[in-house]
Amino acid sequence: MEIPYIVNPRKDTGLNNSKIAIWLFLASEVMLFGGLFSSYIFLRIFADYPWPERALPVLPGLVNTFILIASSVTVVFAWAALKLGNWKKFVGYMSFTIVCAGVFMVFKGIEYYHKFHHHAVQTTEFTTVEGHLHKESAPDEHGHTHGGNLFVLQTNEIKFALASYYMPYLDEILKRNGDHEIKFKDNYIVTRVNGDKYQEEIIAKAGDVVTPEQLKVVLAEAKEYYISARTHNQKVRTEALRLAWTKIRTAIKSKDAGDYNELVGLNQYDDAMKVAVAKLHTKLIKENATGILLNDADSLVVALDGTTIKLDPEWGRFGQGDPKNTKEGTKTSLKLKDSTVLSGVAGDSGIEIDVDAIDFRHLVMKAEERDLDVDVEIEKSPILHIKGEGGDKIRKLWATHKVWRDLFTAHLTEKYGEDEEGQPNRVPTEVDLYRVTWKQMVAYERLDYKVESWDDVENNAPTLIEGFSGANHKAFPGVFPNVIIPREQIRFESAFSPKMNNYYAIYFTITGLHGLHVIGGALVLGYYLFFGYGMFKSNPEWLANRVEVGGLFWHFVDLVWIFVFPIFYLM
Amino acid sequence: MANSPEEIKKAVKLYTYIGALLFVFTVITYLVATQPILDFGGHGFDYVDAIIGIAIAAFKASLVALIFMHLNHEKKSIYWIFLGALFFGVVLILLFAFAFLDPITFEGMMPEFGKG
Repeated sequence: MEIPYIVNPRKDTGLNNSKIAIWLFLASEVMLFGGLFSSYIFLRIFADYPWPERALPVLPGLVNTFILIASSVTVVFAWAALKLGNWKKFVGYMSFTIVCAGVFMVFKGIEYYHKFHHHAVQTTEFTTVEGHLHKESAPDEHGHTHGGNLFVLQTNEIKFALASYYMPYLDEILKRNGDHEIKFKDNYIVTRVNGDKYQEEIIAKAGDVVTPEQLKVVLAEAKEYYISARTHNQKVRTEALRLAWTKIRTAIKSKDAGDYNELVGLNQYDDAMKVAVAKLHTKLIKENATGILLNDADSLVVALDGTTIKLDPEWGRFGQGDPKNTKEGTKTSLKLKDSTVLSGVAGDSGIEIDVDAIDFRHLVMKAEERDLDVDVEIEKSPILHIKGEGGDKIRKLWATHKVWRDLFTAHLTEKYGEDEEGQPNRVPTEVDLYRVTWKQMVAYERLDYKVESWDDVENNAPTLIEGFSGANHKAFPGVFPNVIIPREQIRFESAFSPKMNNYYAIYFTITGLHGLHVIGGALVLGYYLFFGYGMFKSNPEWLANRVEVGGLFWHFVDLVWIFVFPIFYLM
Repeated sequence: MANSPEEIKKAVKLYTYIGALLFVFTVITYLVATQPILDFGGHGFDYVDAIIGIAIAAFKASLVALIFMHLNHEKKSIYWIFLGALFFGVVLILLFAFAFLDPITFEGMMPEFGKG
């Protein structure tokens, strides 16, 4: 089929159709990325946590910028070579462009890999430590490894939330419970509804021993009753409410409103009216109490004889706030995401981590909000009170860092002076003050924890190459303290994945979408390279047009990266 | 746009220069963000660094758009399409200004908006 205006311009636009089309597409792309950058600004302005400023290792981003610029140049060269009818040169330049795209994706992959294998743990006091989870435990029956990061709980009691319990969780718990005894802890009483008759029945009797299969049947039954009781009660309550409204409305309409005289002239949105209705509603329910199922208990409790159960930490969290629960190894409870609560004695289930950054910024932010003394609050942080060798090292690191930051503050004041009011012109950033970076850890170790001048650290820090993808545990073994953080002290744990915080969410969204554009662009350009020769022989102008249009897309990909690089890596 | 062989040869030279310029400005962006001696504004990242960083990026982006994407001599219809998109893109980016209308978060901080 003859496609019109592929090479020759249309009279009304003065352009060939492919060019108009690609520009329309790029226009939509501009708005897409514009929207994403807008959300970045929103997230950053309204972040209620210290923004991870200049947190990414810069070198991969910088190298990738060079790669994309180089490929942008070669793609126009390839187009020019085609215009001049030189196929060999076109192949050379286009191959280089596609290799660039590949190398770009490799660096991106290295960067992502290190993000997904780097963890942060935040304590309940908002201290953050980052590092590598130490132990890679043997894979469980599902083939998952948990990296020294499992809930271990000697369970005495499980409280199932009837409306929401999740079968796979239950199966896992029952499997790990093995042959141990399961006993109902409390009665579960239901009321059968049969027309207007209500009949009580115990479906789970306290003290009864059940098999896992029986437990599942009873749970399913209890769930059904619970839901029907709720539905029934809701219906009765709604009817009572409707009746209450009708009664009050009729009363108001009558010449003498009696008890409701004061409501005359009000409408249904007035608080006085609502209060009156609520009162009457409650009264009506009480009067017709026989129509209500009051025993809609929403949970079923079973007792276990202290089985040790290990669970994926993604499934829930240990209870907090109860003073009895604050120490590991004492009575505690584990609340799963489906609202099932396991109670018992916590085992040794802390997170073991090789710490490569200690960050007090969030703690400082919280302390400042409450007008507390920042340094006192930092000293209270559980991270500085961990026993053992790792804990000693963290205390040593923090003590050294405090020496360095004082030296650095003095250096800034000395170098840049003070203003008329005696305030220093330049002050250290929050990162300088409250974060010990992995590079500083390496430097402090090399200096044997004795800092004498502010630039000691800079002179002893790892090189850019050594820190290519962030904290380098391989090149600096023994530098990073190994500690176990008790589970009860942990507020949040995550890899540097989108779940970490909004910064990493938007970082992965924008760079991921950009990466997809790189792959897509490389595929299109690769098609011209590998399957273009026939067209070059038959219709070289058409191929040149195609390459120009593909090139326009490629330049746009470069253009987006030109903004991504400073915004994510340097700001 | 260049079409004759002479024009294209000339254009290729221009592309090389522009490519080199883009490299140089990438290095400048990096240095401005990392070297204390080139740290404008206060110590560390602040709004001055943000303005400088975005300005350099915008300059680089316009070089790419004007030269590599041939916007320097393009037909009118393309300008309309592109400027229209750019307009909406900028509007999207500036949408965050609406957030300052929130009187709870910005009470007292933005006197001209906050009293709403």
